Amino acid sequence: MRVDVHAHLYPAAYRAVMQRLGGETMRYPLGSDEQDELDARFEMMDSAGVDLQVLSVSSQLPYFDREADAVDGARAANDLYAEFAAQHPGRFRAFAVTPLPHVDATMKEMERALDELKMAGVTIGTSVMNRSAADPAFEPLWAELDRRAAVLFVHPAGLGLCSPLVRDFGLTWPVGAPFEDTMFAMHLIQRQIPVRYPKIKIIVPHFGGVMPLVLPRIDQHQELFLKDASEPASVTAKRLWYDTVGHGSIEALRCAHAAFGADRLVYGSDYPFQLREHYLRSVTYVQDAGFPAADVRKILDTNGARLLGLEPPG
Amino acid sequence: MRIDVHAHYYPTALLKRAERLGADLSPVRRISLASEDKADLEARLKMMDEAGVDMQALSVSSTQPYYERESEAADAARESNDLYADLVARYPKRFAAFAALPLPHVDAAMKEMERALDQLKMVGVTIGTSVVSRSAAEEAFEPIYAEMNRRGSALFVHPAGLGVCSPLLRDFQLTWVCGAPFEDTMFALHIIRRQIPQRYPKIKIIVPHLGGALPVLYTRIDATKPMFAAQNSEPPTTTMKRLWYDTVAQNNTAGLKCAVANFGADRLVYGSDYPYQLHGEYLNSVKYVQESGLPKADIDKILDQTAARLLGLDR
Repeated sequence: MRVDVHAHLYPAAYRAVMQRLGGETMRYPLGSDEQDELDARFEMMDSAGVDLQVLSVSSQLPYFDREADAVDGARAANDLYAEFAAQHPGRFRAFAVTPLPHVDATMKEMERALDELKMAGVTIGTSVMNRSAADPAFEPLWAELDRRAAVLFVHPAGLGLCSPLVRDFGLTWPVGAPFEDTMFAMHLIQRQIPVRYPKIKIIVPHFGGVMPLVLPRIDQHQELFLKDASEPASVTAKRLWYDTVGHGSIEALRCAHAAFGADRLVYGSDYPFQLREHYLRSVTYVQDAGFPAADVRKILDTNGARLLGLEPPG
Repeated sequence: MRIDVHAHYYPTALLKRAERLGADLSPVRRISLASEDKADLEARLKMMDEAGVDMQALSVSSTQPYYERESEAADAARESNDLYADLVARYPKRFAAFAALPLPHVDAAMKEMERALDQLKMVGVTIGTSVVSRSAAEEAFEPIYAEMNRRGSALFVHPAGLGVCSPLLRDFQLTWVCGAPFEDTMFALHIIRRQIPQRYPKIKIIVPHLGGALPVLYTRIDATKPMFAAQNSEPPTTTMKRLWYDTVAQNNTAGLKCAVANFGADRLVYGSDYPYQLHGEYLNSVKYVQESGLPKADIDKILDQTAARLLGLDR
């Protein structure tokens, strides 16, 4: 079963809620829920052999200082997403958003989204506004995700690492996003979250940003950022999963494959930021990378479905 | 001729001055075998011999003479360049050195560059990925690029060690672990954005650590060109191939191959990151290239040919 774990849908009704709350409301071509846009999406999924997209609302995350605003946004997103999944069974499932940085409200909304709305897992930004998503204040969230053995889909917050050298130079998305992926993975490793909560299935996008290149570097410099760990940082990094959003770069995909192994890679497209031939390429470049057939199958058709409990573990 | 383009030297006097001026030397202090002491130099030369390295082209790393007060910056840069030139004079076949500039002070930097390159005969210039919190590609610094272009100089880039000025890195002790490769990437994109490699094509710019994230973000950067380089006449990856990249990657063979596949073997030059790679690790900085499985002609270029040409040492 081919599951696309990295796909976005920005429903008009959600954009209206976000507009009222003062959040991000950008409209992207073929990213909304109008029927013709959904038709085009399903056509692309068919052409790429994608059975199911697991939708996330990132990076239009309902993270607001005012708890009531964050709750409003999160509830609206989860209700809409659950409805889409119900309307299109077999084509859509969805990750729940939570009203961070508000921990109690997050715990409540997570329970509602996973138990009542039967959502596929949870999504989180690489940072919660300018706070690390691995902040000790958010510990109850990790404990609960672990208790449930939930899938956690990570997505760049789109804040360019809060760095003026990134944000002021138009680099927030070109490289800021993959930097945020790496930063998030490093914050998790630093707080040993994958070791302490081993049942959470954490998916980091874009191969973890620069992780495939720096894996030996993080081990060599481990004493700088991580003391008293029970294992090398790169081993902890391999407790995470990484999606294949890589803009058709076979070279980068090979580097990620060498770093993490096929078991840790899951197919993702970044719909609607990869449309038509780019959507198709998000699948074919995995097939064309020269990997053993068994690895291609794992990456495209098995790992994602198993993580989400849609296929029995093999 | 095997030249190690990424090697550091920390004369005691320089560290004392930096400390006096308030620099954070913790990343420098934790290492050894990098001073002017006879024992340190002997150990260094022995490692170079074992790895078949003829020459190290030395640079100051993140201890750049970048101070707000012009006189402090100018004095620090002069002393730094004098100390490096002095070592080179004692071992002319084993060491060359890149000149540090007293930035952000452009006039002082122009003067010191002239002195360092003409009088001290230094092999090129080194620059931080940012000048404290300012982009090194800022328009104000344009005369420096114009002058390096006129001279056809080599420019060795090094992370500023400021974690891209991001609290999400700096407050989490990630400044060097992943902040440094982020800074390499940021620098390359800042100069690409301002089309410095096209406008000043004679500068031989060497970006460390395989260009940071560039090898894995290659296609993404072209796809997102409208966001940061809309006006540029060529795709960012074409501009990227106007730069050179050193091989410092903690023996990540897959990373090296990814860089070679994208940039071409002609664009990679051997570097070690001495003294952060010592003994067996120093040896491995050569060996991992030799054992990478790349064609022999490519390995020869990377280890033994391209850098000598860039630095004008092949004549």
